[in-house]
Amino acid sequence: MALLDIHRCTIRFGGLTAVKDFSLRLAQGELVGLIGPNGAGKTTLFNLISGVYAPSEGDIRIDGKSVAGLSAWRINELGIARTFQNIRLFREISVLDNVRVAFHTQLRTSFLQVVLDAPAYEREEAWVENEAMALLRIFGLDAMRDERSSNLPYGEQRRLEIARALATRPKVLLLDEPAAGMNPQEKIELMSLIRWVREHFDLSVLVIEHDMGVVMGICERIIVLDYGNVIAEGTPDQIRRDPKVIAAYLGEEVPGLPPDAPDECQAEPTSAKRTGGGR
Amino acid sequence: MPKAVHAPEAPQSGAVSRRRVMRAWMATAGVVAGLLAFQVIAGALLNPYYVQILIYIGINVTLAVSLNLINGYTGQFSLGHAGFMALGAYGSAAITYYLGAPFGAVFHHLPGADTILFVLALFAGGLVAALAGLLVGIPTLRLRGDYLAIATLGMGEIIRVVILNLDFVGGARGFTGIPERSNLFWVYGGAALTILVVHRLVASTRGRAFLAIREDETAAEAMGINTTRTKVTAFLVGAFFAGVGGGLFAHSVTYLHTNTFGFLKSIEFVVMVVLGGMGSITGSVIAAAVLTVLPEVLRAAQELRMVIYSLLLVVLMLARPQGLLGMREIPIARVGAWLRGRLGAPAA
Repeated sequence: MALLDIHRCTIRFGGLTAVKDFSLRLAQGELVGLIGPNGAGKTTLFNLISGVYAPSEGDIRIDGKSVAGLSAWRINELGIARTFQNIRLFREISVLDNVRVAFHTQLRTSFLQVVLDAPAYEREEAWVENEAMALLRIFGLDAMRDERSSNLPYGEQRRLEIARALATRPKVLLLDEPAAGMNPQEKIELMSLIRWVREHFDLSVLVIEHDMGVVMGICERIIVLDYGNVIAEGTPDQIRRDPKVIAAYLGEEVPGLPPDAPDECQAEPTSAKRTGGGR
Repeated sequence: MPKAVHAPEAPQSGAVSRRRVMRAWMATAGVVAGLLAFQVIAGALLNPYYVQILIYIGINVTLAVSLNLINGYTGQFSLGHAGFMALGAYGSAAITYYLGAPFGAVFHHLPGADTILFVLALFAGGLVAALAGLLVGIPTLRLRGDYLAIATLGMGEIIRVVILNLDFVGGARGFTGIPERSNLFWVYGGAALTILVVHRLVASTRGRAFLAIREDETAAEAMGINTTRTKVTAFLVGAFFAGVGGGLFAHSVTYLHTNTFGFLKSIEFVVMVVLGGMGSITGSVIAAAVLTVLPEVLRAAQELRMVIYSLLLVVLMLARPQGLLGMREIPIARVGAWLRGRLGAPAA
């Protein structure tokens, strides 16, 4: 059984069909990429899976349990966590607190115990802080624990968002353009980090990314969306060669294939518009 | 992967836990002794006018800090706090007014029966307000920003008009003959309890959810926070302490009229929260004190009083748009440690 099973999902906003008849089965431990031009419906799809929107048609199942129409916090509790394309950290609170908050569904003590400063509450706080610090260490953010999160550099804000998502103990992690705004060195680190996180936390990962180097580098399977429709699906090699994908998204020169490919193709696909949504 | 189960840590040894309980009791005893001393000394040294101002400061601190939980920490702009205050005031006053005699008759052998009834009435007034907060919060907290402000404003007015038409609490004539039970001890006890509860809530991991909602509601929900429930909780707790503050107010002035609890009163509390800093308890305390004292000090200016008062507000907001303290707190613990170091007492 697929861990995440999206069955023929459609969502319409008034007359606009943003995602049409989309199906995806994500198995345990898979790392799948979602690519396509801006406006193709990738982020809408993430919003569908994470419960920001309910599908107009179709069904979404997590571990066989239908979650279509559930509120976002319930879906998170059932094992889906995400990051956002336009970073949505809790800006005015500290780096550590951003991660602490995400332990919300794992808390067992009540507000009464909090107010009475009960020993069980103290132990739980110590536990949360320990776990949160462990996550921050993984992402190299432990030294910034007391920094206000909005003061972090851009790349570190993206990493903090992933740390925060992982704090909710997801089974499926949705990453919306994790490499946007990162420099080449950060991108390389991010790739190994995503791989490592998947192994370490036993996750399935679905990633939206415009950076072909990153997508081709880490994904086992890639799905290409255009105007809300899936136009191709396959391994990175198949996607690279797919004429429909080349026409709609990649353009002619594809990085990694001919060794004499021009340099400017290395980072971004030519027809992908600038990832202006990143900020 | 299953949701993480707490790694059971070694339970605290009996000695440690006993010491914690001891410390809590000693802190409570210290606060009570301090409040009693405050009550006796201030009562002896100050004239009744100053005592009354001190009482208003304590009540306004209670109201401002409780509103800060809703407006400041959770970011839900409520303009109905005076409504909750009114419920607590009228609710508790009705209890002491109507039940005072029978309660006294039944428990006549009990020393301080009046006081016990008063404390029960304060609690009941808080509960009435909290219940109203729950009923009002569930539908209105789905609204955001301006819409929520307008809805809570309307709700506060509805509460006021309903009370105005309740004859057993005086209706339009006002509620007279409320026994005078509030004093500095109870008022500052109530304020201290409000500060303690709000502080512990917002400092906890569970309570960080309030701030998360203020910062980004969509992200908060994506991180597993039941945002509606958390907002209603903030409303409930805030309304409870507004009700307690209202009860303290009723038993201080001994006369209530619904005009006192109009929306201008709500605005007063909002101004205190904004001026002190949205999300700063110490800021609310300072702002409540300053804004209570200021109009009294400005009495010397006679008819220019409210003009100067308003001008000062404008200047303060221009100079510090984030409020006096922004989101920061005055570190009480550090100040306390410094004082202890100064006095040569062993730091706990």
